[in-house]
Amino acid sequence: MDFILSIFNYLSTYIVIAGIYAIFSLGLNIHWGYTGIFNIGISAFFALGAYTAAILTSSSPSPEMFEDFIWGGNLPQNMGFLNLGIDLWYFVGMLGAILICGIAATIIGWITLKLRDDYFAISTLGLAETVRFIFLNEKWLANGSRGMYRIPKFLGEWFPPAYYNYFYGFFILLLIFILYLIVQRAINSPWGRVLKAIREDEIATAAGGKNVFIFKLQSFVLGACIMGIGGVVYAHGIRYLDPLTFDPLMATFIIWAMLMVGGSGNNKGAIIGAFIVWAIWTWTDFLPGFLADPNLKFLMIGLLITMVIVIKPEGIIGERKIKLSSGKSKKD
Amino acid sequence: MKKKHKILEVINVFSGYGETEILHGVSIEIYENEIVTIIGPNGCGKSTLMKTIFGLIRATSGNINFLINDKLTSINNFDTENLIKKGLSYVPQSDNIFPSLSIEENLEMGSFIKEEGMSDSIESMYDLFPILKEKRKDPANQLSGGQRQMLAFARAMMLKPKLIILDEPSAGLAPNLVNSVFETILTIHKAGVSVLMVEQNAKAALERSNRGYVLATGENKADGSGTNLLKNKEIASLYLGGK
Amino acid sequence: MISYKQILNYFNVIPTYIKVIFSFVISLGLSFILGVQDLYVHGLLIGTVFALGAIGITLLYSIVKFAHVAHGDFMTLAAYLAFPFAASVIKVEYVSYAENFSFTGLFPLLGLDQVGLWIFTFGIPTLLAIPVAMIILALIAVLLEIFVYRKLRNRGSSDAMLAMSSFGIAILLRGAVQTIFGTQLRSFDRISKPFLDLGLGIAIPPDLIFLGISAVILCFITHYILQYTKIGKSMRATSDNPDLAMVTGINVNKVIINTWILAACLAACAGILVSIFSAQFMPQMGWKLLIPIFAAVVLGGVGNAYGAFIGAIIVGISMEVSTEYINPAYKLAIAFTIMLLVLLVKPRGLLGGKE
Repeated sequence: MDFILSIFNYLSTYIVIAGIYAIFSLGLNIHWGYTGIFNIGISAFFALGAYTAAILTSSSPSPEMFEDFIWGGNLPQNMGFLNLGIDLWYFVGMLGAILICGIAATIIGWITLKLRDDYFAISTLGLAETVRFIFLNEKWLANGSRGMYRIPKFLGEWFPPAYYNYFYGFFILLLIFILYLIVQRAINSPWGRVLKAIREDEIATAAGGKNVFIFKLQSFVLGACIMGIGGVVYAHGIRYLDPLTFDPLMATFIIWAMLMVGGSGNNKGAIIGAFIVWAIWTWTDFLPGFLADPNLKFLMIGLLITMVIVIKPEGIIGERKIKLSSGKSKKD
Repeated sequence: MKKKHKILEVINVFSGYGETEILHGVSIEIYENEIVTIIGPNGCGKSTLMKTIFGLIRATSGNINFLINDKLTSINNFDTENLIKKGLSYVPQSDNIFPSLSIEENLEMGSFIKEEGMSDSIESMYDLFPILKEKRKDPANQLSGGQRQMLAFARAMMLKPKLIILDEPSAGLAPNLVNSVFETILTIHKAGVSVLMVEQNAKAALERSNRGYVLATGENKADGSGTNLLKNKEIASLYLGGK
Repeated sequence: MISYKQILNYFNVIPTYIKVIFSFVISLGLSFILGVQDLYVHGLLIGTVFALGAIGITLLYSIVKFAHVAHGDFMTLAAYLAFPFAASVIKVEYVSYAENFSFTGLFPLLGLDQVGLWIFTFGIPTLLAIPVAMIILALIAVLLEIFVYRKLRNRGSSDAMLAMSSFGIAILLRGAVQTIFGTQLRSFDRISKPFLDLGLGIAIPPDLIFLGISAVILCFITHYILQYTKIGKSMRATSDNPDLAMVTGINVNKVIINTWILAACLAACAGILVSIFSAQFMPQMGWKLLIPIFAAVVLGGVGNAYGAFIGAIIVGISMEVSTEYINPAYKLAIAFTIMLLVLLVKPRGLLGGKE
């Protein structure tokens, strides 16, 4: 019985983490899969969302625990009139995260979306590194390299700690489902169709009279907000954040691998890709000896991304792009 | 009169881009030492024919034979490097020089496949086009439109080809330059090479050609000597559009 | 009266190299006035090494038409390739495939272990290891070209896909290095040597002189190759117009392979030189170098090798001098800001590259 319980435990943790990544993957799918925006700074929105939620919901910093950030302060307690039995500050945290990500995406997108694909990508990378950098060096923001911990559990008081993950896993799946419906709705709307046209042929779409820039900006902001939501869920789930969390491998490239493997341009693919890649990532821990080397995972992810791009670029469920039948290679 | 050898024959060639077929069975012949022009309305397949002959597009059916070692040999599956080695040369319509390379370097590229005799070839090109010699060290992007065409042709002549293919040589040039470009073509022809060209400026081109072909919707419509094609009123109204 | 337009015309006629020398002299003078001449010279010399990476990237961009994001990891890999040849004690610890052990590098094993050559900190084995690393890295680059990048190009993949695949490669290379060697800091054998006092308030580590001179020599060699050899001219021609190059009989695939070899050799030197100067190297080194290098490429004009050189010098100087005024931790942010500014204000860069 104990054995079965520990398997369930393990699975629930797997679902929580894979689910968080699935949310990021959905956001990236809006950027890349539907609009062709090459964003390699996912970790920026991950970090902004996570830190915002953490700051808004954490208790006041205490010097004994080496905390020297200036915000936090038991906001839930201090806002006495909002006493409905449920701690609404989680939702405030979520809204705050969405807002911050939205604003950041609007500003950055406004400046950089005019650039070509690969320059834009480098700009997003720079953005991600800058965000991480700021949180690392400005200790008053979020405790710098020591990180923020004891981030409160969402509805933690309702469930005994041993079984909390079952609830949270379920909650995340629910959230994924809701987000999936929202994104599907957006994609199948006239707005979404313009996005797909932009991905296929930006110039033709612009020639057709659509303000490509505004559409790209909107898509960028939407995807960023979803990524921010993922960050919030991460913050309340893992309950510890530090700048190292947002290193490029775990906060950007693994998400790209997930989208590529699952199939970009396809929301189901984005979600499934996350669960598959995370499964590979964690279950290799059970492989004998050498194969469980954490550094090997780096290699694995790199190999996975490369192989998928070379061998099966449309991923597992992705839509096969129609090749131009001119016999010549496609020019940008 | 000495019988002229045939150096290129295109027999019933079909070709196109992917799913779209552009040429539906086109045939032409080129003999040594002549200038042949292909005219026709826009989209009739003139450029496609040039690219098919030069192997940039694969013919889906039909034969293309070229004179190699005194024998007409099939070149359907030859790659570009091979074709150039065997005496074929091609000048694209636009972007036909290397802008950041000097004039002399452009010519050197023309002789890329075979380095022996390169300096002699360069000198003979300078004899043919003195103005290129004047500016030999200047970057090619500083040349005027007409001079660029000169350079493009000279580059293609470097390996002394038997046949040079020109894709709309007068395209995009100011009217006063059009004549000088055709004079240049006559010049390189006098140097002993056959010229096959495709042109929109039908009148100016046919005036200087031995023979011509009229293409429309990917098929042969007419052919004959340059002067006869020009005199033919029906062809003039259909395809020459008063030019 | 002289009009503004006349002045502008006059300015445009001045040949570029005069403008470059003039700006250099003026800025050097300015650095003396501001008292940062020491940082200026530091930055200048470090910039020359950035240039090695930047030239490679800009050539790859103009000829192979994509942003080679794995270049930083190429440089890191080179240091790790040289390591087993040059170091006298290589400790393999905390890795999962073997118990801790250590071994001697190849060259010290052969008796070539003299360190601290003249005024420099490094020694013969490190020097000898440089060409070895160059060869191996060039081989790896060619294999990647044949099995990955060429396939994707022939398939008509977009720029973004190509860049993404090179990301995959970058992570793969870094993972390989980390798995085999572990993540700890490494360094080439060295003996500490005192700073050189050049007078006028400038004192630099002696290795920087070697760096600067080597880098400049390599840049000259590259210049010679590009301008005076058939291979170099065919590279410039392909960069100008790949379709015409093919029609002229130039074997474009061969030109691309030559470009990879050149870029890899330059990157290998850059990686090892930086490791010598920093007295350490680690798997993450590549990423840190990538941003200044890309900034240099963009600043100089993408596709223009000479622009890349100048851009690298400017980026190097800016990064070092900035430490006088702002937190040194933000050095990379300076490079990134430069790049962003150029992209927004003058996307074709200083010397006018493509787009």
